[in-house]
Amino acid sequence: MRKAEEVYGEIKKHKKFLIFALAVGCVVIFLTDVSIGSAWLSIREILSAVFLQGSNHMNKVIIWTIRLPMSLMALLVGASLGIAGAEMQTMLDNPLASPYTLGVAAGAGFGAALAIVLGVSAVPIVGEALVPVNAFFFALIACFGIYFLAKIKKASKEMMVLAGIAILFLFQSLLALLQYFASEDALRAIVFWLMGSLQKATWFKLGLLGIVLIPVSLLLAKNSWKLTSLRLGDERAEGLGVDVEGLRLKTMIAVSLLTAVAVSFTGTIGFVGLVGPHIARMLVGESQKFFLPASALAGSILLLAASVGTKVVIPGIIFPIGILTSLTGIPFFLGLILTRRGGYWES
Amino acid sequence: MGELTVKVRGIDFSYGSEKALKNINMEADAGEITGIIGPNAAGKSTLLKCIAGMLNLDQGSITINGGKVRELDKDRLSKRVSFLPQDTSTRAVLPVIEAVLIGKVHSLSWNVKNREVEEAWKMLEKLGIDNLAERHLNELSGGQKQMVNIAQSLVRKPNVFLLDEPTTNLDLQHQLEVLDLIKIMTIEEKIATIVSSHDLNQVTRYADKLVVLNGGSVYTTGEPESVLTTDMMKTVYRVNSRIDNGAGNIPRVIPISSTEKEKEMKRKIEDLKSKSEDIEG
Repeated sequence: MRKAEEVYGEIKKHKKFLIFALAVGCVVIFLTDVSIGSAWLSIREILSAVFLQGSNHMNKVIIWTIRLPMSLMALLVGASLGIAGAEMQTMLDNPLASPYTLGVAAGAGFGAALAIVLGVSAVPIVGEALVPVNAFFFALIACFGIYFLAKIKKASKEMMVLAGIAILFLFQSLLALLQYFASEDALRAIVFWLMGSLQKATWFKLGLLGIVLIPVSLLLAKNSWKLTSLRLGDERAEGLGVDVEGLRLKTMIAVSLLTAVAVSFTGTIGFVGLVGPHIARMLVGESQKFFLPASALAGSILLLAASVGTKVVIPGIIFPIGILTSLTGIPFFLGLILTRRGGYWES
Repeated sequence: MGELTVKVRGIDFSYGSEKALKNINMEADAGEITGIIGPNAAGKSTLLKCIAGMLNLDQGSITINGGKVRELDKDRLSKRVSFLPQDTSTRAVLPVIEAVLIGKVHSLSWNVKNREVEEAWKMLEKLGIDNLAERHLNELSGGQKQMVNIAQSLVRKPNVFLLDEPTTNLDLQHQLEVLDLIKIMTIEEKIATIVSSHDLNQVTRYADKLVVLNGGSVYTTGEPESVLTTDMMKTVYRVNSRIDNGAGNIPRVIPISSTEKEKEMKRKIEDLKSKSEDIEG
């Protein structure tokens, strides 16, 4: 007769192997991304530039000031969007939810456009930080707008989605208004920002993203079983003693903050936050213990693959990454859907 | 009779301005099944949710082993009470063993302890569904899912088990299996089980006591044979019926017609019959 640990051990072993495979894939594609650019660098050159003192000075400059920040930004933003998408889909019980469903990215887009068109920020700041700081500020406004609207109706998932859609359309309309009055140069800058870019990555921005990503991940990990219980339905979770309203509001704020920081630095990169969690779900299921790391890794892989794509489409020119996230991810995603038997979400 | 565990005293509850429960009094004992019956909108689900502490009462009190439900914090309450709602049609991509583990959601951490896995496994074995342990919830039939739900509820070792129409959407075989299981666990684990149901004959067969709700109030309460009467059926369900005493002296309701539209329906049927005879003639 089989023992409990044997059965559960086998399940865990299988899922851990898949997460390990995703991690290996992530490392490979990360190194590929660092090596590709106007000058191609070998893995040995990259490792020596990173770890050895007396290595080629030019390589060191390229890697430390351009390549590593950009690739790490792709890694962290991909992971952030993957995690945010996974939790949005879980807490809203909706496979179409993404980090952008609740209008956070639309708020960021409007904030960025306001800074680009008028050159003013809602917070007193000037220079290079003007656009991301304003984007973050308006993303936060969107985030708290949904929080207060949702709280009125006890954070029901229907109310959250409807409040999110209202906020999404509000900011999209305001953005359209700005674009209508914007000069040609400003309009081009807005469109470019909305398409997303990793080029303005710096170590400081990476640090800020890390500061938000780590505590959010720890919070989600702490509540991992409660979040998993939400997939059994609100009433069932409540029947098991989970404070569904509190959990949903807490998670919504955490993932909205994560999304706000990510999009403020890179623009609204779509697809990753929607599809990363689907890939993770197909591979490891919905137990958050495995779903959370797998969604982060799938998000990172998708964004890093897109980043590689942006550099090789037209050699010498970096293509806007937002265009390529879908194009590089769709073949992989469709492959997974078409090779699976039956649906995995419909209720 | 087991020791008294659940006491409901004079509770009122409203959804907005609409009163859903009015001055409800009832008791449920450990090791027994208490059936709650009544027509649609009688307040069956609402009463169960009130006992589970999911709704705030307008007035009255509910006590479990002497402790007031309203005064217990969510953690302590959830350890004592397990509520299984009517709709449990999840499509979660979650292995059954983990779904059962979720029953102990308050004590689980990122790394699950072997003892917790062992408890979940033992519950699956007890219910005879350990062969499903590795299957995902979204691959199971309705009956299998309900067995998993029961395992998930019982792994918490509750004092009170509340089930809202647990056999809806199940075929006859699974209905009987689920209810047999609930009966066995109720006696073995000395749980006060409260089950709401629309199936009068089935709940009568398994319940030690019935509470009849009508329009948010208790119409009557007692042992099935004293509660199931043609008068009760007429007043509460608006149905003309006959009550037979079947095997084991368990009363069985045989519905005959609706008291409301009996004449109108009979007339329509007669009309249709005569029309079809005319056409054939």
